[in-house]
Amino acid sequence: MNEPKIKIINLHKSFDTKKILTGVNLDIYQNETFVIIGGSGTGKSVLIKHIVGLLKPDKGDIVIDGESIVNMEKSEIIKFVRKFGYVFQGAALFDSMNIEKNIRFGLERFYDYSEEQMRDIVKEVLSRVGLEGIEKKMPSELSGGMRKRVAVARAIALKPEILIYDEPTTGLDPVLSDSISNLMIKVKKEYNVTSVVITHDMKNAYKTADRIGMLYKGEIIGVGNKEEIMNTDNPVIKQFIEGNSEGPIEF
Amino acid sequence: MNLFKRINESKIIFRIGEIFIFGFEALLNIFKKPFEKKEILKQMYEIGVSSLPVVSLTSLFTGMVFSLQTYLGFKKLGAEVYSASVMGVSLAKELVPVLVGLMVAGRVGAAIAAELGTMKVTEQIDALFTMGTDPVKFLASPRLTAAAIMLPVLVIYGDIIGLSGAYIVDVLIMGMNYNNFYDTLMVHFEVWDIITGLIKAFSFGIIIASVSSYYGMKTEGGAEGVGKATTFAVVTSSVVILIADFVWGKILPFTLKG
Ligand SMILES: Nc1ncnc2c1ncn2[C@@H]1O[C@H](COP(=O)(O)OP(=O)(O)OP(=O)(O)O)[C@@H](O)[C@H]1O
Ligand SMILES: [Mg+2]
Repeated sequence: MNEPKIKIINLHKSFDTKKILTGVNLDIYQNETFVIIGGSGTGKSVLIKHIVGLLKPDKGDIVIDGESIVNMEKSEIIKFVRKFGYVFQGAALFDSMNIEKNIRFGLERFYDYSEEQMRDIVKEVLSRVGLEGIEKKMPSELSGGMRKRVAVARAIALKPEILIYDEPTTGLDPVLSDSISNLMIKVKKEYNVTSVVITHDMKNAYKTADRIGMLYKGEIIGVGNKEEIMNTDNPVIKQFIEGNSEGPIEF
Repeated sequence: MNLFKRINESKIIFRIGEIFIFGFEALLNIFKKPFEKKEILKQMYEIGVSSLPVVSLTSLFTGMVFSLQTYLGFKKLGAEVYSASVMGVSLAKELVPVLVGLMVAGRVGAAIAAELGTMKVTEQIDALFTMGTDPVKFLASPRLTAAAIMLPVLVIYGDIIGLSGAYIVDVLIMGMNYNNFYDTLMVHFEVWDIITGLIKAFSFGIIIASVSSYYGMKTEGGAEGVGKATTFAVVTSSVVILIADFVWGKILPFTLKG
């Protein structure tokens, strides 16, 4: 196989004395959708925040497109992370700006688009996520599901190479969850992105994933494709995907 | 023992170091492109407009109360005609800058910490970062610039309102002759007195914006964390303003003479 797009090597991270990550190793390849599953509070968000340089590891390395990002200066990282689009757990729209300004934020700063081109881009990405005509609304006027879609629109407007989704379907009803899963599949096809997805919604995982890995006790275990995960003998993964409260997983 | 333990737990020494480094970083970023003019103007407007009522009230009543007390004090010595000379200098050099600083720390410092704190806990600050924008440069630096410009403006305004308050008490209520009021006010009043006040105000602006942005951007722990950050921002800004006022009093040569 060719070089991985994202390579995580022996990543360690503690907060005070609390060990969160204790040696994560993971390769994610160009154009694949990699889904990370794992229990609440196991450090999934912490892990992906390392990939974009929001957190610095205590030990280990992260290599993206052949470049190590852990020793980069803040100003270098800030430039580098423009490769990424990040859909946050709570959407993280700028609530002092309307939807149009949210989407234009990055466009205005990094591109020389004309006023008209920008308006077209905003219109286009909003229609991609199925939300035409909400340009002038404020984030507080939208429902949770709409906000997540706008967050996706804001991310894809900047044409990222890698899209990161932190629990894209958590807190949404089953129908809406499914529509977000479909949106993720569509975005992957149309924009040719590499995606990293965190979720504990197995339906969303099976639908979108090329490969799945589980974060458990600070490490990634049992990486495999959908079928391999569904038919796993690993008791921890088995317990998690079946949603049993009885089994080896400690709380 | 208990006190030492509490001081240690509040990590106050550590915090002061961090605030200093943070403020310095924000200060340096003011001079790097892009200059975020839109943000600066917006913040200047917010700081100026939101502070006007409280600065007006504080300055007016400080001017009135202080001129009344100096008038009565001097009257005991039979020298009430000279009271305006002391009053004017103290107002411009000390009372207006410090009280305006404290009031703005309460009003603007709290607003900055609450806004940035909310942005932090809802991951908007992380979102800025992942969209290729340095949050310190985009959020803290414009607030620093705006506060450093607006505090002197507010203090000049406060000086005028404070002296008007003094005029109301001395001339209109106590019946001092206007020419007399004006002449004694001007005997000791120098341009340096006003400049001293403005230098202080400038530094207070930087203090309020850096301390409050720091606490805002370091907020952890949801709505409760935002509340804590706001309190810490106001208390720390106020204490640092009082200390800075004393230090300025010792190092600015023209505060010592006359
Ligand atoms: N900045 C931080 N400082 C201290 N502890 C932190 C910090 N960020 C995360 N943690 C801790 O790390 C652990 C993992 O957090 P994380 O947010 O990654 O969990 P998660 O797997 O994403 O869970 P969830 O599914 O609930 O989002 C938690 O116990 C959390 O308290
Ligand atoms: Mg999380």
